[in-house]
Amino acid sequence: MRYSYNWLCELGKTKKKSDELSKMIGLRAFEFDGKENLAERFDKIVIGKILEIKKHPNADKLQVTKVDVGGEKLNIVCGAQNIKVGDKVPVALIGAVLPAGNIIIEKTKIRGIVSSGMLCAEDELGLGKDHEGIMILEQATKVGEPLHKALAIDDDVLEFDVLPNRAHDCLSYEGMAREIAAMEGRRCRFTIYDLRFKNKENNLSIEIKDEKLCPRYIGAVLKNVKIGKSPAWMQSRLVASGMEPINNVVDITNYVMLEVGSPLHAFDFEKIKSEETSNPEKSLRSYGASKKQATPKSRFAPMGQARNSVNGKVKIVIRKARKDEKLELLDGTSIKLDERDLVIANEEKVLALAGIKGGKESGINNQTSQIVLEAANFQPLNIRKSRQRHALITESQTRFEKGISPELAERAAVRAIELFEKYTGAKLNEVVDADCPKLKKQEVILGFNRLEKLLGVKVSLERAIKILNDLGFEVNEKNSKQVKMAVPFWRLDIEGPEDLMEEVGRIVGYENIKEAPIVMAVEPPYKNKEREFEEQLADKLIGLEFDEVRNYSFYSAKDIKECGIAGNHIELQNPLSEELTFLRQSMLPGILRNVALNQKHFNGFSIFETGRVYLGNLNGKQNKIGKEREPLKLAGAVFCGKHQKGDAFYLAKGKIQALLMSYDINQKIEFKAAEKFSNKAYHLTRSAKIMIEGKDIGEIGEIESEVAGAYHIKKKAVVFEIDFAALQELASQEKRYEPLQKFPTVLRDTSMFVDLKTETGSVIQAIQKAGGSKLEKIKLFDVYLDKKNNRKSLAFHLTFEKDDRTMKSEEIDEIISKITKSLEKKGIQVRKG
Amino acid sequence: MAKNIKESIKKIQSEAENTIKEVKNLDSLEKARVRFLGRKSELIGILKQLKDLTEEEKKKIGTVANRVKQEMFELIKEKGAQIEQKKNLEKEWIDVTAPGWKKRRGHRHIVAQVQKEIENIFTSMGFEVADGPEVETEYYNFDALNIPREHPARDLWDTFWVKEKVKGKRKKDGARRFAMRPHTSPVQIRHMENNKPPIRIIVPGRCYRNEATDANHEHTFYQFEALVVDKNISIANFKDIAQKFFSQFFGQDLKIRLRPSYFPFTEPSFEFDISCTVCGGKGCKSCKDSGWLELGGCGMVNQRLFEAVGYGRDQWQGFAWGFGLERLAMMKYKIDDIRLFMSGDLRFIKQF
Repeated sequence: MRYSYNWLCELGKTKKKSDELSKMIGLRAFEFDGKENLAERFDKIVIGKILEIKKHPNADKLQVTKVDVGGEKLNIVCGAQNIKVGDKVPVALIGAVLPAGNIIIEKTKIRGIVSSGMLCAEDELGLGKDHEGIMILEQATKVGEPLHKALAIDDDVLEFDVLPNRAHDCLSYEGMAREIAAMEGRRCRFTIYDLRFKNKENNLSIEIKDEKLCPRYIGAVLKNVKIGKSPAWMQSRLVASGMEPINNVVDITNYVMLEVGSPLHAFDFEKIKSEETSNPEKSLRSYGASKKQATPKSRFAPMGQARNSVNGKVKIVIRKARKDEKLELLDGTSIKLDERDLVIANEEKVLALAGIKGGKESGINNQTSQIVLEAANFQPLNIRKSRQRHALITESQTRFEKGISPELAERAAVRAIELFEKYTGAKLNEVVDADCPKLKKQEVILGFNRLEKLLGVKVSLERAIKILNDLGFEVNEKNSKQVKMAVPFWRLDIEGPEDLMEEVGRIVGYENIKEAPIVMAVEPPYKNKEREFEEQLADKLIGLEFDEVRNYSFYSAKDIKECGIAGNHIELQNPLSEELTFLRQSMLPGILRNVALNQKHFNGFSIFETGRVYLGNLNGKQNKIGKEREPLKLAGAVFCGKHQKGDAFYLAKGKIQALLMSYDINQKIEFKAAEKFSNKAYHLTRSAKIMIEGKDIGEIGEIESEVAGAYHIKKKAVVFEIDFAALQELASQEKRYEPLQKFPTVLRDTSMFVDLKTETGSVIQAIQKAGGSKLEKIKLFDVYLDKKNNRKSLAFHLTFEKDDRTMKSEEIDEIISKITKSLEKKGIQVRKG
Repeated sequence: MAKNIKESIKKIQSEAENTIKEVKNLDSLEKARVRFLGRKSELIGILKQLKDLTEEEKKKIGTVANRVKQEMFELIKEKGAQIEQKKNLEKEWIDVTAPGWKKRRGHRHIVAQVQKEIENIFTSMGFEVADGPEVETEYYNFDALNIPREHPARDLWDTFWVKEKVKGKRKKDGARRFAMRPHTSPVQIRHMENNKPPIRIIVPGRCYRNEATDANHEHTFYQFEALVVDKNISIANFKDIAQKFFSQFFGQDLKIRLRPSYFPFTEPSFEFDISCTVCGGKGCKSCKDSGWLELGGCGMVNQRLFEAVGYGRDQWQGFAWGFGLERLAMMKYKIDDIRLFMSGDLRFIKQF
């Protein structure tokens, strides 16, 4: 909220300069959002006196004026017709920035006539809504004087972010003043306003149909109202608080709302009175129907005697709207209501959307002479829902939505009546207060021991009580250990002792609490093994030249379709866009996008991502929310640009093998061709399933060309996706030392012809099987593709060893011949020699 | 006479030393050898004159002359070896300024690096690293954190809701929706439900907010939550841990500042500032002349949370915070656009 510094000073009685004050409030209560000097807002806008007015030679609707702005006489073209020679008006000089709309005034030619400035209307200055004509100032103002001086607008506007739980009391000047005083160790005491008015006119009756939604409704009838401008000081304070002055009645309701914190509304009595003379019996019956029915209060003492009766009767009903009822709002827009909206109505029609906005028809205009003032209280939640449905944000709604004490309505009513009588000439005719049973006064116990324990600093008992007193809390009972405090009615946020500790803490000042180390048992923290493994894995991949990327957890229906990702996806109800609608079950779409993006800048790269995928069917068997439903995956891509040799697949496979080998000491890893992969992104004849002991743990393969096209990937790239948990399990194998080889190993080579499509992996397996435990290593060192004969030659280094002695040549020959036989059995032609 | 001979020898020696020093190759070294040690060399000539001297003088000068001869011989030999070695090194010359063969390591994502750093500091102080689901129920996201349905405070979190609803009756609250967690705070509840105090955890993880992205806002981001619960945990303790952590993280002594705030799950609640890491608190462009950098929200755990997890009221005290990880990275590395983190752009990733 924007606060006038002058107004705060008056109520809060502080002597602090505005900067000091904002700093103090910033540290003790609410974040300071900035300061504006109002005088600066009206920079280069001065009082001018109109010396002559001529018709514009080239435009019928324009006039050319000569204006004395103190020492200088300016020619200014003007469109308004309400001015006459001798009027004093606000003149925006060249270089001025109009407060409304940030328009910069420049020297211009309007239809051939030079205009050196602008005569301003109220709305252009942000001083009102009036755009009927130029703002005419009082004759007493001095020519050439800055406008802000003439209007007594010399104020700082301080903006604070009032916390949502303090909107109950601090979205008001009185609330903020109370805070300021407490921070300075004082207690603010405001004039007590009580409804005291004895009158039984019975022109106004109020019926609350739903007292939960409307705990209080005070109506006051005022007559002899003379609509006009409100006093300059009031206008200036409204402007400082960010509101536009309109007329004295509306300004007073706004002014009191700002001061007290409880919104008010004024209806034009004439426009809402019953069309027929209301039936007193009916009215009585409805009074009798509920004890909350209001009768003029007996405790009202005369504030002014109404001599003349008001002509007509008004019955105000606070009820739910009927389906399809309509209301034209003050601003001319029309809304359609339904049974969920609470409205203020008379017996015939809806007058206002309760607590949010008034209707146009029942509003105040220049002819208004009698008004019904509404000071009420509404349930926050219902206000909130209504304003959400109708998308209406108003000063009134903002306050009711956060919740206000019903007692403030009374305070606001009396204060407004006082101002109406003073500044509109109004006479109070009648007050009706439909009030619910008084809320019980809340009490909270504050234990001193806990206060110190929570703050971590010693605050004396007296100090704590003093602070709470300054904020309006009263001591009900006290002993050396604790104090029972009565919570002031305006503090709806106080629920328990911690709230009181917070009040003490913040007023003492958090900067006055010195750091103190935690005293706890020294214990090693429980290890998060998954996190540790993730870190280790990432380090290994980085050693293999992978860069780490991160992608969104969401993708689109198009991604699911393009990549052919099977499975029931979790869908967002309110996604930001189509691209971000489904929770990923595969990391590949993100990885593909990364490849597409980076191919523009890099010739070759390897990327990886570790992250969660989200399995669908949240209510399924694995109802438990947890790791099983959000398994981690490792995914990535290897992209080969033109300068890199070799097939992308083997480059990627080599890296993945290196990664897996770093965990697997027993070489149980296999890469197997397959007919089907988990999604369409894998090229069917250039992809493999990654297996550990026959268990499928992931996939690797070149991107299928249609999918590559869909993601605009232009060159060969290989992607992979591996189950994180399976990797972690593999890594959990304990490593064990094996004695170093004492005897020299023996190396033999073997080579063979196989069909072009024979899987090298199967050949290696066969050699290993036949070779037995003494065949330590098999290494493919040459491949020659003889495409003409549809065959290829494979050559291997075979390493033999035995741990107790050097192997004899004959022993090795024997094994070799066993291998050869076994290969030949498979139809492989082993090359001799 | 003897004296003259002696001086001549000295002269020859110094001449020889100077000459050999200047020699650049084996040819000139050979010439020098012939000149100083050859049959026709001056030294030999002098030795031939010895016959005219007394025996005693002969002996004396002879010793000197032989020593000089020996020394010159060694000098030449040494020089020869030097020249030889130099020749070999020349032959083996390589251009060391040419670029090395390209070998590189990859780059960890900066968020991962920052996360690791945070985890390291906290685990060194005895904190556990905890974790929880990202698709979370309404109960853990809000209700258990003292943000009941219809509470206006829910507006503070723009939440992504999931279409599928929770089936069956869940918990006491009747919360029936799933949402992408908008903060890491649900893990506080999950952890406390399964553990008894004392508790010291941090929860780094992905969070989601349904808001339009710009240089300062991202719908997917990382938070790290800290939670400490024990009998006597105070605001003073909180300030202490926070001060230690941030000083360590930024590698400089930082001050911290708490200002009043409001969150349903903490009471009291604070806004948390650290002294500006650029100017040290004097005021500069980075801190908009305030001397402070705003980090986020924190506070003392609301007793209602302890009630929700079955600890009961007024038995325990604790503090909690949830700060944005990217924000820390942005402050530390002067990154000006939060969207870069999830961009997958290697031009960004490779910088760290």
